[in-house]
Amino acid sequence: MTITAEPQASQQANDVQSIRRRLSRVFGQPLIIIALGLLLLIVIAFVLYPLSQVLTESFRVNGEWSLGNYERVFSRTYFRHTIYNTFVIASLSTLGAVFIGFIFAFGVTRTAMRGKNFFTLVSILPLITPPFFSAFAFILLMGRNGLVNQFLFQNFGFRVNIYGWHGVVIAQSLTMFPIAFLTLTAALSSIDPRLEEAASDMGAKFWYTLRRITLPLLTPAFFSAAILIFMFNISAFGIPAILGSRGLIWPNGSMLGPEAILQILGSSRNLGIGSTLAILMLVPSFGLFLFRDWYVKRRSYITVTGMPTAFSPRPAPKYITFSVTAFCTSISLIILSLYAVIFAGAVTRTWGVDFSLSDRHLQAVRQVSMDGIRNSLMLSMGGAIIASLLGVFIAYVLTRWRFPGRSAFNFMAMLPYALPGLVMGLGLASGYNTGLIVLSGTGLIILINYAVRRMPFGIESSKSALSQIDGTLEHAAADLGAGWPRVFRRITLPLLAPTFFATLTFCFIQAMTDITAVIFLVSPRWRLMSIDIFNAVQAGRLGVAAALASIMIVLIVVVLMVIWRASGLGYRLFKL
Amino acid sequence: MRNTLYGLMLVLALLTVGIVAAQEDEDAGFVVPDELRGGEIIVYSPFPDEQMIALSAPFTEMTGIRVLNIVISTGETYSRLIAESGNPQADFWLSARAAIIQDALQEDPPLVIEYKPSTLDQIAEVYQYPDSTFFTGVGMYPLVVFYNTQALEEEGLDVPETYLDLLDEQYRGQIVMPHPATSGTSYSAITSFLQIFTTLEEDIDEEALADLDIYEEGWEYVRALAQNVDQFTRSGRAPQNLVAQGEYPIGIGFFDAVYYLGVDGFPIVSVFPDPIFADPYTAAVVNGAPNEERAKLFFDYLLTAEAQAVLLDFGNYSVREDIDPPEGGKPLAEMDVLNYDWQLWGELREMVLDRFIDETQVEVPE
Repeated sequence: MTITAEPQASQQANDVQSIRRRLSRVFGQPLIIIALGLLLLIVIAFVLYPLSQVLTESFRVNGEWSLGNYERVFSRTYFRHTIYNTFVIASLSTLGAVFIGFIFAFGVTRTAMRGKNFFTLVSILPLITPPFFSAFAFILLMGRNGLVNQFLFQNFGFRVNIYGWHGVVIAQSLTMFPIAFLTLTAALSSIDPRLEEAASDMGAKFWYTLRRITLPLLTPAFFSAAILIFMFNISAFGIPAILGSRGLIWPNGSMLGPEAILQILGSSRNLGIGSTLAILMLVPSFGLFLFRDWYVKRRSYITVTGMPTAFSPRPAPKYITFSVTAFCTSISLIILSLYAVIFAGAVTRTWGVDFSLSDRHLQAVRQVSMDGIRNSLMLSMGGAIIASLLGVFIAYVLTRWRFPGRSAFNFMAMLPYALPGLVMGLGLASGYNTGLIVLSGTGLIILINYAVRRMPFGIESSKSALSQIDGTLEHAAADLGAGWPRVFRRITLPLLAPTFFATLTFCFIQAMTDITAVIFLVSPRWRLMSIDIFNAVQAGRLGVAAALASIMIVLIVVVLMVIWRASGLGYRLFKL
Repeated sequence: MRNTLYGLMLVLALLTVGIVAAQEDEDAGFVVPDELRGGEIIVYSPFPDEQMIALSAPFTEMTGIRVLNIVISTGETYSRLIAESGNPQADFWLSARAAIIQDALQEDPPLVIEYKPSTLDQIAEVYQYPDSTFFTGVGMYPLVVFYNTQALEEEGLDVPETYLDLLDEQYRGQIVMPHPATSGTSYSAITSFLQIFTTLEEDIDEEALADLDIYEEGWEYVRALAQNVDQFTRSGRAPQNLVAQGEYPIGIGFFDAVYYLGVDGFPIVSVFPDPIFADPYTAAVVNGAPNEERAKLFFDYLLTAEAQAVLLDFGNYSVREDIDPPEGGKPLAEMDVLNYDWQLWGELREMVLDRFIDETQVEVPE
C-alpha cells in the first residue's frame, strides 16, 4: 500500500512528478516572459526615457549640444556654494538622523527603558507625514511669531532663529531618523546577545563592550542607513525650501533641491541649468546606491550568523537607561509638539497674531482643496496597489525561477529607487509633453509616477518575504498535484499577504506625502493635496496649510487603521 | 417716396433704440451666447486659490462655465505654455505684465492670441492700451514700501516715507525684498529705481536709452539700497509674509499682498512713495486654447463690475473708474504715477540683471 512497498509505483510517481515539474517550468515560461517584458517596458518607458530627457536637457544650450550648462554651474560661485551647502548640510543631517536613530534603537533593544511601544510609535510618525511638515511646524513654533519665540521674548527678551543651516539640519534629522531607527533596531535584534554577554561575563565594562562588540557588528547597518538617508538628503526639497532661504553655511549659495526646482519653475525658466543641477544630485545618489547594494550584499553574513535567539540581552547599566530614556523622551516631545502645533494651527484664526478658535481655514479647504484631496487619495492608493502587485509578481519571478540575466533584471528593477524624485518627475513631465504619447496634464502620469517610483520597494520587500518562505511548502503542494496557479493562489499568496499589505501601506503613505516628483506633474485638472499644502506654506497661508496638513494626517491614519484591521496585522505592518 | 423715407428713418430709429436697450440689458458688453453656456476653462494664474474661487464664482453663475485653476508662477506658466504649445492644455493666462505677454506673442508659434475684451470701454482709459491690439489692464496694485508696526517699534525705527529714506543707516539689515532675477516684482522695482533716480536729457534718443551706463545715478541708489537689504527672496510675495510675521520690519513689494495680510490681522502697513510704479497687470487668451471662445468670455467678464469688485476684496485697484481703491490704498489721483517704460525694460532684462549682480554683488542666478 505504501510507496516503499511498491517500488514500481514509486518510480511511476517520480516520473509523474518530474513531468509535472517540467510542465510547471514550461508553464512558467510565458509568465517569466510576461514579467520580464513588463519590467523592461516599465523601466525603459518610465525610468530610462525620462532620465535621458533630463540628461539631454542638461547638455543643450539654445537647442545645440554643449557643455555650457555645466561650465556655468561650476564657474559661478553661487552654484559652487550651492553644491557645498547641499553636501555639508546633507552630511550633518545624516549624522544627526543616524545618531537619534541609534539612541532610539539602542533604547528599545538593549535597555530596560519604559514605554518602548510609545517610542516606537513616535518614531513612526515622521514616516507617515510629508518630510516638510517638520519644517512647517518649526515655523509655527519658532518663527518670529511662533509660540516658543513669543514666550522667550515676553519672558527673557530674546528670540531664537530657526531659519538657516541649523534649522535645516534639525528638521532633516528629525524627519529621517526613523529610517536609521528601523534599520538599526532590526540589526540590533539580530545580533546574538550572547556575544555581548560573553564579553561582559569576561569583565568588559559596558562602554568597552559597546565599542568592541556591538558597534563593530552594527557597522553594516549604520552604513546602509546612513547612505539611504544621505541619498534622501541631497535631493531634499521641502525642508531646505522652507527653512534654508537664508543663513546657510555658504551664505552666497542655496541648496540643490530648491535651486533646481526654482530654475525650472521660477521666473527665470532655465530648464537647462535646472536639469544640470538635477543631474548633479543624481550622480552621487546613484553612486551611493550602487555602493550600498554592493556593500550590503558583501556584508550580509551579519544577519546569517545573527539568528534571533531566545536569550534577551542583558539590560544596560541604570545610568545609561536613564540617559537614553531622557533623550528619547525629549525627542519624542519635540516630535509630538510639532504635530500638536499643526493641529492647533488648523483651528487658529491667524497664527502668531490672533490665537482665537476659527474654522475659517477648514472652510477654505472645503472650498478649494476637495478635488486635490480626492485625487491624492485615489492616485496614491491606485499607485500603491499597482506598485505592490508588480512587486509581488516580479519578485516571485525573480526568486522562484532561474533564468539567464536574472541579476541584470534584479538591478533594473531597483533603478527607480536610485533616481531622485525630482529627476524622475522632471523627466516624466518633459518626456510626455509632446510626441506620440502625451500624458502631461493627466492623472495617469501621476499614477505612473507613484507606481513606478514605489515598485522597487514592493519588489524588495516581496523578495525578502519570499526568501523567508520555505520553498518546500510550495513543492509539497505541487507534488500533491496542484498546478502552478493553484500553488501560487493557495500557498504563496496567503503567505505573502502580510508583506503585501505592509508594502501597500508604505507605498500609499509615500505617494500621499511626496512633493518633489509631482510638483512637475500637477495640473488644474489634477491637483494634489501635498502640493496644495506646500504652496500654502510657501505663500505664507499657514492656517490653510495647517488645516490641509491635519486632514492629511487624519486621512493617512484612517487608511492605516483600515489596513491594520482588514489585514489583521496591527503593529507588524511596521516590522518590515 | 416721402413715406418710405419716413418709414426707413423710423425703422432705423427703432433699431438704434433697440440696440442700445439690448446693450444696457446685457451689462454693457458682457454677452453670453447660448452655445457657450456650460463647459469649463482652464486658467493658469499665480492668484491664490481663494482669490480664483471668489473671482470665478459669479462667472460660473452667469455662464455655467466651470473655472479650473492651479497656483503657478508667471515663469512656470510661461514654460508650461511653451511645453504645451503643440497641444495646449490651458485656455487663459491671468495676470502677467505687458512685457511678458509681449515676449509670449513673439514666440514661434505665439503662446497667446490678440484679443481685446468686448467690455474694454468700461475701464479707465489709462488701462486700455489704445495703441495695441492685445494688452488690456485687468487690475493694478502699486509697488509699495511696507512695514510691521510692532517690529518697527521694537527695533526703534522711524517710519520710512520715501525711497530715499530707505538708505538711512538705521535700516541696515532691516529690509527684505525679492531678487530681480527670480521675481518680476523686484525687476519692476529695480528698473523703476533706475528710471526714478536718473535725470536724463530731454531729447535723448531711443538708442541712448538702452545704454545702461547712463543710469549711473540710479545704480548708485540700487547699490546703496542693497547695502541695507538683508535678504533678497526668491518669490515676489515672500517679503510681505516675512514682514507680516515680523521676521523683518520693512519690505518692498506689491500692495495687494500687504492688503490681505492686513485683513488677516497682521500689523502690516503700506507707504506709497512718489513717484510710484503703478502699472496694471494684463491677461491673455492662450493660442490654440481648447475653449478659446469661453476664455474670451472670461476675459470680457474680468472687466465687469462684478469681477472687479472681487479683485478689490483681494487688494487690487480696479481698472474701472466707478470702483474706489481698496481700504488703506491711496487713491490713484493722489499718486504721482511713474511713466514706466515697460517696453524698454522688457528688452533690457538680461543686461539689467547681469549689471545688478555686478553692482550689488548679490549673486543669485538668473
